[in-house]
Amino acid sequence: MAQSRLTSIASLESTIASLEQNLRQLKNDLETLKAQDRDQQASVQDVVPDLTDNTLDGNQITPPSLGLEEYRRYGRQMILPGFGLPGQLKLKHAKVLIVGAGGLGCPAAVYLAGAGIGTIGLVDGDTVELSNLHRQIIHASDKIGTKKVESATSYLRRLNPKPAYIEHPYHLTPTNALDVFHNYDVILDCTDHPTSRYLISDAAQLCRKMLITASATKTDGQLMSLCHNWDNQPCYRCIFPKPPSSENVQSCSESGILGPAVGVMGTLMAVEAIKHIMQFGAYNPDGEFYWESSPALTPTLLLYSAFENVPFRTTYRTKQRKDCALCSSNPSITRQSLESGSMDYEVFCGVRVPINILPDHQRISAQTFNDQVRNGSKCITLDDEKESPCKSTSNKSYILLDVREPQDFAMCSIAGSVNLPFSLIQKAKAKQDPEQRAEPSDKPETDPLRKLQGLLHDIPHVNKYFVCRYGNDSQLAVRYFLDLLDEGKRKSASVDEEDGMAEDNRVIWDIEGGLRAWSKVDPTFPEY
Amino acid sequence: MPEKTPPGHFHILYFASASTFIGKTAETFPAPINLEDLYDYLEGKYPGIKEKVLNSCAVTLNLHYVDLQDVGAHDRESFPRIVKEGDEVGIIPPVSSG
Repeated sequence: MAQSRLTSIASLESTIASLEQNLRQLKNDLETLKAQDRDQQASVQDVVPDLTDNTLDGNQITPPSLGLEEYRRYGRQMILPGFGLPGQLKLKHAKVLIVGAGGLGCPAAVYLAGAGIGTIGLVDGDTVELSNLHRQIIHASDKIGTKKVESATSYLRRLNPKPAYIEHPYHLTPTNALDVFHNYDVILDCTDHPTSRYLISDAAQLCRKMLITASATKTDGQLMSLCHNWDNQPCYRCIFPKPPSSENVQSCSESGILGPAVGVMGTLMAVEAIKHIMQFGAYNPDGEFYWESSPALTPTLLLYSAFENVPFRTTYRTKQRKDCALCSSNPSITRQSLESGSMDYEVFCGVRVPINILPDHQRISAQTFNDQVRNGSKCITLDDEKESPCKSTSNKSYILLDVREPQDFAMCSIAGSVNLPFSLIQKAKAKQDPEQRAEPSDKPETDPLRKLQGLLHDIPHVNKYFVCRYGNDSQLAVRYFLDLLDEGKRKSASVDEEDGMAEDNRVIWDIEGGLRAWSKVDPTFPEY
Repeated sequence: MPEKTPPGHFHILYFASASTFIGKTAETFPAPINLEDLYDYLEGKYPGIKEKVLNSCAVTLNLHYVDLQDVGAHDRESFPRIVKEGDEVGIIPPVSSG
C-alpha cells in the first residue's frame, strides 16, 4: 500500500516536472514573439508624437516609442529633473542581466522591472526553498520547489509586463559566462560565493560590460560599480587580489543574514544601474543602447553596517593595480583562458568541501548513536561527573558535546547535550602555537586551553560524543582532542593510574552529518 | 556623531569577518604607526588574524584605499604611509555572500 503510494507520488512529480519544462519553453517562445511584435509595432496608433525638438542636423529622427500606458506607468519618475522622456527611453533600450535571483537579485529585479528596463535577464540554477523567503521577497510559499528564475519572472511579469524577461535557468560557468554576458549592457553580480564573484568580474571585464557588484552577510554589506565599459577602470581583483580564506567563506545558512540588510544592498544595485544608464547611456536611431564617453568618476566602495551608529561609509577605491592578473597591461587571465575552461575558480578560492578527516572507528552515525548509545547509556554533564566521578567505562555513561556557537545552541539542542563552542577550541589552538605571545591577562579559569584540558582530565573514562550542525566542526573538535591526548601521553614519563590522561581512553567520537543527520532520526528536531 | 578618538590615538574599524574574528567593530590604538607595521601589530594582538583575515583585506586610511603591498596603485612618495593621531583605518575583508 505504502509502496504503491510512493510510486504514484514519484510518477506525479515526474509528470509535473515535464509539464513545467514545457510551460517554460512556451513562455520563452511567447516572449520572443512579443519582442518581435513590439519592434514591428513601433508606429502603432497609441504612440504619442514627441513634442520636443528632436531633430539631428536638421533631419527629423524616428519618433520615440513610448505608449500611453507607459506614460502613466513611469510618469512619477519621468518628471524627475534630468529624467524626462529621453531618460525613460534610455532605460527602455538598455539590457540588464541579474546573476542570482536571491537576496540581492530579488529587490534589484523588482525595481529594475518597475522602472521599465527594456530587457531583464535572470541567471540562477537553484530552486526556491523555505529558508529563502525571509529575504528573497520576490518568491513565495507556493513557489517552493520551483526554479528561481521562473518564480522571479512570474512575479515580474505581473508587476510590469512591458520588459522582455529572459530566463537563464542554470549556473554561470567559465565556459558559458562570455556568451551569456554578450547580449547585455549592464551586469549585476547578485551571487553568493567568491568563485562566482571572481568569474563574473573576469567575464565582465573581458566583455567590456559595466558590472555592479554587491554583497551582504549578517548585517553588513558592500557595493561597488566596476565600469569595464570604459577604459582603464579598476576591477574586482584590483581591490581584492587574494580571495578570502576558505574558513571565512560562510554561506547565509552558516553565518546568518538579516533580510532588509541584503535588501538594502540589492535596492542600491538597482539605483546604481538606473543612475549609470540615465547619466551616461544613450541609444542610436536603431534603438541600440551604447555608452557615452567616460566621465571623470572616482571609483567608490560603499560599506554598510546596519546595526552601527554610522551605518553607511563611502570609501574611495584605487586605480588599476599595476600587476593585476586581469586588467593590467600584462594579464594572465584572458578570454581564451576563460573559454577554454582552464580557469579553476574553486582552486583559486580554496573552496571548503565537506571534510572527512577522521578514521571510521572515530565516527558514529546518528542512527547508531540513537539506538546504541542514547537508549543504552546515561547522559551526563560535567557537573554530574565532578559530583560522583566514575573510574570505569562499564557504567556506560556518556557526554554529548555540541560545538555550535551559543546562539545556535540556544535555538535548539539535543536533550542533555552540553555546549562547547568551536570558537573556544579555535582560541585554544591559537594559544598553543609556539609563535604566539602569551596573553598576560589570561586567568586560569578563562584560559581556553586550560578549560579544554580540564575536560579531558576531569572525565577521562566517560565516552565523549561531539556534534555540530553539519558534521564538519565536530570532526575538527575530535581531531583536536585526540591530538591533546597524544601530546599528554608524550609528556607523561610514566603511567599514572590516577591521571586518566595517560591511559588510552580514545572514547571520543564524532556524530556523522551532525544535527542535520540527527533531524532524520528525530523528526521533531528542528532543521534550520 | 562617531565616537571621539582619545588624544594620541587613531581609530580602527573592523568589517565583516574581521569584526567576527576580533569580536569588535572598532577600537583605538596609540599613534603614530607605519602602515607597513599595522598587520604585524594586529597579529600580535589577535594571533592568526594575518593568515585568516588580513591577507585578503582591503585597507583604507581616512576613507581612501591604501595598498600595503610593494607593487601598488599609489605613488609611495606622495601617498601618506603613516597613521597619525585622529586618523581612521578601515579593515575591509571581501564579502561574497548575498
